[in-house]
Amino acid sequence: MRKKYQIETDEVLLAAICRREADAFAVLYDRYGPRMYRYFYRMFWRDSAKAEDFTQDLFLKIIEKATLFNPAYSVKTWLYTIAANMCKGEFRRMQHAGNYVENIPDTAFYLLPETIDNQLFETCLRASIDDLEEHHKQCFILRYQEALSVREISNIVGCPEGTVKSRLHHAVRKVAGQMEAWREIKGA
Amino acid sequence: MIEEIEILARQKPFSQLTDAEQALVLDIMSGESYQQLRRLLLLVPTLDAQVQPSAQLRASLLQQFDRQMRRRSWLERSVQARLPVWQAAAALLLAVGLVGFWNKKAPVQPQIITQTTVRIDTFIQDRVLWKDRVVWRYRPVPPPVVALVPTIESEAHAPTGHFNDWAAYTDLDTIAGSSLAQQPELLQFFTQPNKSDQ
Repeated sequence: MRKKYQIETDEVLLAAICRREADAFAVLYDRYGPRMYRYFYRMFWRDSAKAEDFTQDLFLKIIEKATLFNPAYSVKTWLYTIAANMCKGEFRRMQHAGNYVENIPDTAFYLLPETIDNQLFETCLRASIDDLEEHHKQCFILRYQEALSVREISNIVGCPEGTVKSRLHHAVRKVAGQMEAWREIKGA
Repeated sequence: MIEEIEILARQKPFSQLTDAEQALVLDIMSGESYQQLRRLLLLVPTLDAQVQPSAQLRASLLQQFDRQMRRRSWLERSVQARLPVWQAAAALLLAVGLVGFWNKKAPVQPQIITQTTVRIDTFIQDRVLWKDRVVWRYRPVPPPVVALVPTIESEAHAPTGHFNDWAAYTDLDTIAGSSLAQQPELLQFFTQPNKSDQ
């Protein structure tokens, strides 16, 4: 039964979930569970516990509201839209709680050790992504880490494509600028 | 435009770009920036790519899915079951046909309905709340006192005190109770036009 669903499209899986077929849900989770987990993990500064909680909440919402899926969008876009809204809500809650800034780790470019290796570069890159503003970071992660198209991102975040491109441009310039600064420090 | 450059950056370094592609890139950014972008685009997808959710999460979600499924009643499931339109229409037609068939078989029994009409009449009752009473009182009018100068002739006929005697003695036509029609002078007096009206 599960094998049957593995070759089906996302839309077919969702229709089967509406009919309460557990195998369809298992296949959908295998397809999108790790991706959504990584998305939350990146959005919440690599907090694995929080990412797991949010992934669980997301799939519970799918179980409860699978019938509300709008076939005009793809399942992938729908999932990311729900996830993006959850992130937005969490950021707003954190801002109200006053611990939004505290959660962002320091980029600490100038404290990097002299030895240059890939791991260090990655750490630095992560830090510069973490340092992005919320909406820039969201677009950046969706575009370059989740490999979604600009149109899909505009549907997810509810902005025109031009705005998404502008946000991506700013995000790339900022990250590249920080990486350049880091390189200069290394070269000095 | 930026999307095209991103595609190029993922594919090849700046040095391997054709002249047209280099011109396209240089319109927007420098060669160094292109190289930075390339490095970024190649590295970013690999960041945290190995991170995986725990197996417990999957098991827990599947368990919750099963629990939800069990919670649903048969009625809810039957409401959400989607029948094809033709099947629904066929079922409806069949039902209508069966009802019609059974109705034909059953003999029609005339039913006599006794209709009882209850009418309530309205009685109008006149109540005499008060009533005037007209009392006619008759009062005998005493005859006017006429200065009677008894004449010698009349002395012989002097009244004796009886009313008839008095009537006979006096001119009763001039006494109260006589008609105006019999007294033309008096009638003229009463019917003459008022001077103040003239």
